[in-house]
Amino acid sequence: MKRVLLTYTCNLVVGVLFAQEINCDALYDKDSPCYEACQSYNRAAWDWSYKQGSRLSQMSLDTNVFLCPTFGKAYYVKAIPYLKRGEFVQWKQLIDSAVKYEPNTYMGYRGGARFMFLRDYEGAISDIERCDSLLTIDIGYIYNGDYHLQMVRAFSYAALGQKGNALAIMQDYLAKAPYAGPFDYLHLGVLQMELKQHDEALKSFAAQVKNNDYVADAYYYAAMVYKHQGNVQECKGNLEKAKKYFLSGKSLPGKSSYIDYPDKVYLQQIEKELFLIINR
Amino acid sequence: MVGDIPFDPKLDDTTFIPCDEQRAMPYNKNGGSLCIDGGKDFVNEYFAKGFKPGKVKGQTGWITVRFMVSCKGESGRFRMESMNRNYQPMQFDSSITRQLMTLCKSLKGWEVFQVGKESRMVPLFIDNPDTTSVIKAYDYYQRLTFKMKDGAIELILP
Repeated sequence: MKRVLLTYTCNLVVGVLFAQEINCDALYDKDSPCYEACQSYNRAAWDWSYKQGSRLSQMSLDTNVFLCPTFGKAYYVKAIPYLKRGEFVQWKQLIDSAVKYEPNTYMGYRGGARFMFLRDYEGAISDIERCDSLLTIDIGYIYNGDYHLQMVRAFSYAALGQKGNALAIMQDYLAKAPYAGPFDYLHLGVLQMELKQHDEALKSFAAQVKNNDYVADAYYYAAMVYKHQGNVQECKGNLEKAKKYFLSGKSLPGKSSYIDYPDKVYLQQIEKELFLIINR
Repeated sequence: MVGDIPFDPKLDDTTFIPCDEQRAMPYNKNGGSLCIDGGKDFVNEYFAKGFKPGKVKGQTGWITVRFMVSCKGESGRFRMESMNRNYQPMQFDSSITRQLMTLCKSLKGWEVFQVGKESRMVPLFIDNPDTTSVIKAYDYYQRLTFKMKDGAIELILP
């Protein structure tokens, strides 16, 4: 059926307003209520007065699902402001409807959001693994593209204490990935450090710097490895660099995103370690 | 807008006066999250020191406190929503919720959200960019989500 054309991934990147326009002609018969709902959705998508979370926008989406109760995108878009603004019960009810009607498109997205916004490790693993079982193609990335869902799966297993499993997932993913994400090697290094693979961790932090040298956190964790190895000079140098980077805004997203990213380091941690190394 | 918190005389302190709540910025203003002096590390430490875990078995899930920060950096209009690990609404023990609400209300240091020459972001409702040459402060919304495990705070989000 025509629907197959759009169900290409479990995951989507969230747009600012209504996100991408839908090719209604490819999905629905022209005389059907779903086609009308789809067209109505597209009209609102380009109208600035329907800004995300506004009464007008939410009501318009209600009309879409009234006309076409299986229109997953309308549930998904209606859910987004609830997620961003912390009304998670409402978000979950809506996103569950999107997943119910279009699991291939929204299952992975839901898993990524459960991890990123609520650190719901079990929920994220469940959704991502179900997504993986549904698709024969790549399962995709979280809502903003910063992490592949396999990385999120690895974070979740690590948080549940299965660090060895998490490392295997991460390494397997990075070995096959056409390119690494902006923070992937940092997280790989942190996991290796926690598993006491210190030399491998330092290589990963170096790879992070080579891939994306805008992350104070990489220098902080490298300093922690050097501290463990008793290399005071390198430890201090990396901490100073971490502080400099942090103060210039080069660090894992936190304040400038909806949520803190995994393994995020705060200035207080960096300064505390600097104090300890200077006054040892 | 989703997330708006209108005044409720049964719940809200009348001394908290927003500057222009019709134009209050949603939580995700400026793509941002926690806007407090000292940042997340300060918040973590504040609750680690102030919250006494109840160790009540089964008190597991998430508690979210949403509120408004006025253009003067004062907080008010606190609302609490809680759910279990299955995302179903759940009433937590009052010994937990009272503590969290009290601590949230006592938390100080909220940043003043200003729009002006230095701002990277212009709110959608400002039609004429020239107006941004005048620095103006706006009310905005914030939230804190507590992931709870058996009555203790497992972690704080965002």
